[in-house]
Amino acid sequence: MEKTILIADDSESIREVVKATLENAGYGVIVAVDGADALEKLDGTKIDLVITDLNMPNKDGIQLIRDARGLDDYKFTPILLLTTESQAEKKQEAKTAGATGWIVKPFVQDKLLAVIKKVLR
Amino acid sequence: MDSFQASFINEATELLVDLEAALLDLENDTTNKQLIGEIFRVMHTLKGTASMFGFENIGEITHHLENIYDQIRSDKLEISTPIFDVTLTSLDHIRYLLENPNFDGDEGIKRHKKLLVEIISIVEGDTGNNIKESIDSEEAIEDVDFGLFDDDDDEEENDGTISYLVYIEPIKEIFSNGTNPLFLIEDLHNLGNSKAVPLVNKIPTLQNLDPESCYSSWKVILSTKESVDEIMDVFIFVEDECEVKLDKIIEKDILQEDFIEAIGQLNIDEIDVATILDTWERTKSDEKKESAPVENVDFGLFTKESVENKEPNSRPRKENSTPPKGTPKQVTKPTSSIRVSSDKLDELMNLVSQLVTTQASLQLYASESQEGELETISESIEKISRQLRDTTFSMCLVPIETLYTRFTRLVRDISNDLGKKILFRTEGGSTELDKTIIEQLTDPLLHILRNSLDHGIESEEKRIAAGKPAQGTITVNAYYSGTYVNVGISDDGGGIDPEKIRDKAISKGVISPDKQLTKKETLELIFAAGFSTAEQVTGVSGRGVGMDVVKKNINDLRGEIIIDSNVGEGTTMTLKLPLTLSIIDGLLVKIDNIFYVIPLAVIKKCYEVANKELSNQYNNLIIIEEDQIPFCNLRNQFKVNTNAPEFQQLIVVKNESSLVGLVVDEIVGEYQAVLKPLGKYYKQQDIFSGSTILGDGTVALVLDTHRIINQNQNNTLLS
Amino acid sequence: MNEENTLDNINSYLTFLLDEELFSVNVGKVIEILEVPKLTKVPQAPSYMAGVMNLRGNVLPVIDTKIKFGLGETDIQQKTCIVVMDISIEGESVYVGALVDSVLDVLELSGDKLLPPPTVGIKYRPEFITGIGKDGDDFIMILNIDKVFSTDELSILKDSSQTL
Repeated sequence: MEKTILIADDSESIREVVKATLENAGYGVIVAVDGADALEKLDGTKIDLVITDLNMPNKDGIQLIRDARGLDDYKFTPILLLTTESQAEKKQEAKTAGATGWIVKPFVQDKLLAVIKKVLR
Repeated sequence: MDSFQASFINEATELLVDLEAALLDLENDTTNKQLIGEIFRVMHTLKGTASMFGFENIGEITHHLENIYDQIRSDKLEISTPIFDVTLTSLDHIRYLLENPNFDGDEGIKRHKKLLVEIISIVEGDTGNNIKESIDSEEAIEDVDFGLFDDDDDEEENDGTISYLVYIEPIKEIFSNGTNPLFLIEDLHNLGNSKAVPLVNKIPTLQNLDPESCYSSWKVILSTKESVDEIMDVFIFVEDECEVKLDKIIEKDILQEDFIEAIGQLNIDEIDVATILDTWERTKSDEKKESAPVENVDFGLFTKESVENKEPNSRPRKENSTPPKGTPKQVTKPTSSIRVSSDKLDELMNLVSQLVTTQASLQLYASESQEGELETISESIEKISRQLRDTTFSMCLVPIETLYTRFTRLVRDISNDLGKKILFRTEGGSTELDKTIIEQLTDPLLHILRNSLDHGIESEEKRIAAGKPAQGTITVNAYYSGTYVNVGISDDGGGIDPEKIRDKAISKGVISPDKQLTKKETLELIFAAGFSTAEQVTGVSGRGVGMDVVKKNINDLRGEIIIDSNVGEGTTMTLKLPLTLSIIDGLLVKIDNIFYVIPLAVIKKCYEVANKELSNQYNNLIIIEEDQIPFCNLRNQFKVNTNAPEFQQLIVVKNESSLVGLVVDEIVGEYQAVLKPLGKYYKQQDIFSGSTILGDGTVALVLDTHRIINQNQNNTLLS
Repeated sequence: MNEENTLDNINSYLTFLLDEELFSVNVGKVIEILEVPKLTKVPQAPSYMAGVMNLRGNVLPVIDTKIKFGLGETDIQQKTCIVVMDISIEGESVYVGALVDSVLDVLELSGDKLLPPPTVGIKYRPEFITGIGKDGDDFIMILNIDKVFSTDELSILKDSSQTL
């Protein structure tokens, strides 16, 4: 069955490039423009993976992860954090919030897919 | 990824506009955390995206800028004018880089390097840390990329295969991070040959078992050619959720059939490096015995992070153990939008216009046909096309705020150049105008602003001498007024001296010396062709464009420019602009056999009046509901020779602050008018803002009530 | 029409009548010929502006050619036509309709049938006439319509210097 991935990023170009990459790789893609939008899209729909940016307006990635973990449907869904910040604290904060892993921007398409394969199969 | 480049450029351009606005706001409100957060966020986004789309140089600039704002937001660096300057200069440079990602010449490269040095020195100067070095060293770490553990010697002896024993014990709560530990085993398996043995003795009885917890752990014997860091990479996301131990067994592939079988016989608790080696010794056929040094590698100590943290030159912000959880919470700003090219919008607008016109024909035909069904259909289409028109129309509206940012920047730069202190205020930024108008408004507004800055606001000494605050104020204020939007540009400068204007106009031959003019008329001379403030041309305002061009541009938009100035107090220019250029809601009226459209927005009320009543009025004033209302008899003004009907319609419209009646023969009804220009032949007849085609194909003329009333008043004054 | 012909070497001319006088314009400038629909007269416009009409959703200005030529207002009859022309004003292409009493014919005028504009003996100012065509015994004024219809002047008669 096709796997569905929700991307939350306030950068349109990132959304576009991630979406295109994932769709080419055969994933179904849902996009959200920020954390609040993403949370709305976590409405019980089958979502197999969430990829979220860290810094977003309305609701940042960490809060989104916390909120998503509070939802029964997405308690165990893998969540990847998309970030440029390589500091330990941010990743730690995200992990504590319930993130599964992270992808460091900038990334190439192969890298993105490789990381996804780590948590979604 | 090239196809995404254009979209990145668009997005970056928009981000830069936001950024510029935030910066300029911040300059006036330097402690605003929210703005700092916003700026940091934009830098961060730009940095993250730029290099993905081939704009490495932008990535470099924003990376360093981000450092500055990160320090500011964690209170390690104080905001200062040099920071604003360097950031604004960087913005311009980024704009340049968007067009020339790899520079277009040495100039660009020079500027780039200079900027980097400036940015870096800001961070350096304030923290005593050598940012440049730390950045370099960070890059160096990335280059090494676990290379520390690459042991080239491994590959001398055999084909490079090494066997490890990997012990994996997840924490119970690992599922709640969305991790499936079996994937880890799978990943290890993909690195080479492996044999995994699960440790299940911690699994409780069913009634004590929490299905959301993980009780298993694993021992995996892995024979692989991959490096240690490749193996460690498997666990990159689970450092804290898994205890991982990696023991090197031997530099051989020990996973052969007999061995696997023998290992399977063992109790899992017994499996350790020694047992494995022992078992392997027993099972291996005739391989030369080789006791490789056993190396205990505790994975946890060698993560990339810990290496980074050990670096003495790590970036200053790392010293800050708890950065403010300052992911900026922006004021709610709807970001859910898509970008559409203006060509498509224009095309849509055009189609909607045609639809509205065609719909009018349908409506006419339907009402004549007497077929109920057809009339119902026509009515629904009418309703839909009206909604469609309104929606399309609103899509073309842009808040004037988009211009304000540019102006704020311009004022800042120019006032710096001129050495004048200026407070620039903008009001009514959410006032919306048709995008076409906004586009065409930029140049005239910039010109007026330049004039205010250059000629309007006096030098500091002069201001102080005149008892004014040293800092001059320029205010741009936009507000709705009926179907118009007014944009006022006021300064508290020296004002325009009518005497000087007059002298200049005479010397330029614009007016004859004996001509008598009111103050307003005199001030308006600055809009006359050939009147230029040439003697004061400076680099700022002397761009070869006179106020006559400004006036023409505004007139082309069916707008007006009104000037008011008092010597010593300042000048206000008010631009009066129509909301839209294409469709208006109007009242269709008739005079003689010609149809006219009056914009509904200006209409206050309509009254039926007897013709006699009007002709008996002295001075064209009529009393309606106890108010004296001046009126224009359009029959007279349009020189219609036929006899007026016995009863006429008085349409009371708002004109500036007063009410004026327009007398027509007949009211036909409401009408959505798609404006069509009357064209060059009717340039002089500017009392009509255009024309529109009615359902039966007849052309109706759209009245510009303001001009009609002005014309009427002028005529009355003359006669 | 041969497509390779540029406007300059199209030798076909549309002839029409204003009162009893014969005029013509190069067919390259003519878009179409229409019956006279309902015209909307624009108040306060010069008298030679007959009004505006709907040309397939666009607004077309219509000029009363006879007033321009000093022949009085056109009395719209069955044979009255509007010749829609593409003229150039200040380098911009503009459609304009010209009221004429009747459209006659399309003639090939070249060689000895095409004479240079006379300097004397006609009542119109020379800049408005590009030449004289000869059709049997008839002489036809060939109009420079870019000039005739772009001027603000009330009339193109020689003795008229009144401007608006």
